[in-house]
Amino acid sequence: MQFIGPLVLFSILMLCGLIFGSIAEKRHYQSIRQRERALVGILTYPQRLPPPQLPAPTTALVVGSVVISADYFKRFIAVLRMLVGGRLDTYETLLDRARREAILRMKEQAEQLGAQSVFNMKLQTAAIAGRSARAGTACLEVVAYGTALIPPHGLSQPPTT
Amino acid sequence: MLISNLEVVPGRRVKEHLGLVQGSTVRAKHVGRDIAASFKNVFGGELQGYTELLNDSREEAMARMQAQAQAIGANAILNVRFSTSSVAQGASELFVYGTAVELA
Amino acid sequence: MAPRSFPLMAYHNRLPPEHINAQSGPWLADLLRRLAMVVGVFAVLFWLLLLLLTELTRLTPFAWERTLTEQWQISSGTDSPAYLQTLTEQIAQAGGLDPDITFTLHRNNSEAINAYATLGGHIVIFDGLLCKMNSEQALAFVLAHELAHLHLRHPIRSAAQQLGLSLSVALLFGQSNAGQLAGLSGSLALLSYSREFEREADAWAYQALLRHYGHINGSGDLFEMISEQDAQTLSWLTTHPHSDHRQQRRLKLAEQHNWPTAGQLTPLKVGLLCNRD
Repeated sequence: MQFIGPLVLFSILMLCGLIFGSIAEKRHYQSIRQRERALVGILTYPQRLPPPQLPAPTTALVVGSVVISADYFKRFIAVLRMLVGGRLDTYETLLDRARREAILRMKEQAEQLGAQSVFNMKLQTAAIAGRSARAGTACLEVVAYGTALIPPHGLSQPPTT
Repeated sequence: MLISNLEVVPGRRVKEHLGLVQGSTVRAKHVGRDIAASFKNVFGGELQGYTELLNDSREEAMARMQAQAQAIGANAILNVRFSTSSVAQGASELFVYGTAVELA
Repeated sequence: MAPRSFPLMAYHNRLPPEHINAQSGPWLADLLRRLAMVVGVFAVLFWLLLLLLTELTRLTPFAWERTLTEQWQISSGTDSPAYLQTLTEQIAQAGGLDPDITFTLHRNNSEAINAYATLGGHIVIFDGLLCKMNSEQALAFVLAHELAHLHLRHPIRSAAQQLGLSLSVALLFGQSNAGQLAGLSGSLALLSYSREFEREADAWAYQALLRHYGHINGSGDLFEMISEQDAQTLSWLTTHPHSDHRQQRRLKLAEQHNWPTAGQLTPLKVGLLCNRD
């Protein structure tokens, strides 16, 4: 009898996590894909050095960051996974989303500055779960940063290569 | 596919810079390994189970990065960087990213 | 597209395809398969651990148990009257209590209807129970039941089982801190026995009564009394099987072994034991 209360609560949380979590994920992916296509013109490279033949641009550090948390359902599946081992599929989508979102935010910042490209882009992930970290709670921050190259004014078209 | 953390490959010219490619995987070891590791924490030494786990993850992450690079028509990935983060207790993510390029 | 395109031809971005870093394979089947494997392995390990602990407790002499519990402050009442002590000794002799095992009677002045036996041969009887007894045989059954727990080494076997369980849980969830183990040993004084142990103890008690009185009449009075009462107020029920089941089992055993269920009941000098009102 005493187990019924927590069991009902657990089922509700699981269901909430499953339903709202997958709706949110679907929407987020849609938005990510759309924005990625829109911002494909902001060229992004992890490589350190911009092409030397580029007309002297001004530079600016651009940063995009996002903090995400897993829903209850994902977290429960992950806890089971930690017991049995193997790939934590439910967290992989989470991290994929977070990373792409962070890059997009960085690109959006670069776009606002009028930049055309971001070089030496780096990505960093940090688990920022506090006291609940032991319980398998994933609360992650992903930061994307790089140097945006803003072309000098008046030079809008390429000086043919 | 050439994978390197160099910026340029000596003797070869980069024909096309294709942008960021990334690969990641999140994995956990089963609880038996965790128990073995907690014993190892007392005596010290290499945690072989975890070394193996991370090696597997690294391979998988690199395979995924390569898959992305291949899909966008690159034949090399330069300036590759690895990063590991612990997503939750007992689970770790291995992430690798680099610049996909087409070498001449 | 960005308003101005990048000036160099060799530089452009291509978007990699989806689902390389977020694959959705048959994860549920894989998870369930692995889960079954882990549960299986743990069940086997847990069973082996229990087996080992049980064997170890079998080899533990009673004297160790006794010295271990010497400092325990169990008694919280008046001394038990000589009559109770004598009766318990008689029952112990009739039942064939292991000569290595020594028991100590304690009285608890609480009104709770309860009695228990714990590590080190300590038997605690609550005044609430004593006041309810309507014959010597009924009281003798309670005493015999608790003696049976001691004879069959139930306290230490239960302790071993609980230890095994806590150890497994601690290992499984990675919380093997010493504080938990310390807390566990503190709760050992209040062991609850499995239903199997209770059945074994009941069977031993009937035989002790049979040998002492020649019949088992009166031994079921306790069950009758308890099943009439409000179950909520009885701590006896939380640690013992349901009384109706025990009564049924008693009658079944009596039938199987041809135990006489009728016989002369010895009246109990209640005033001697129950010093209330």
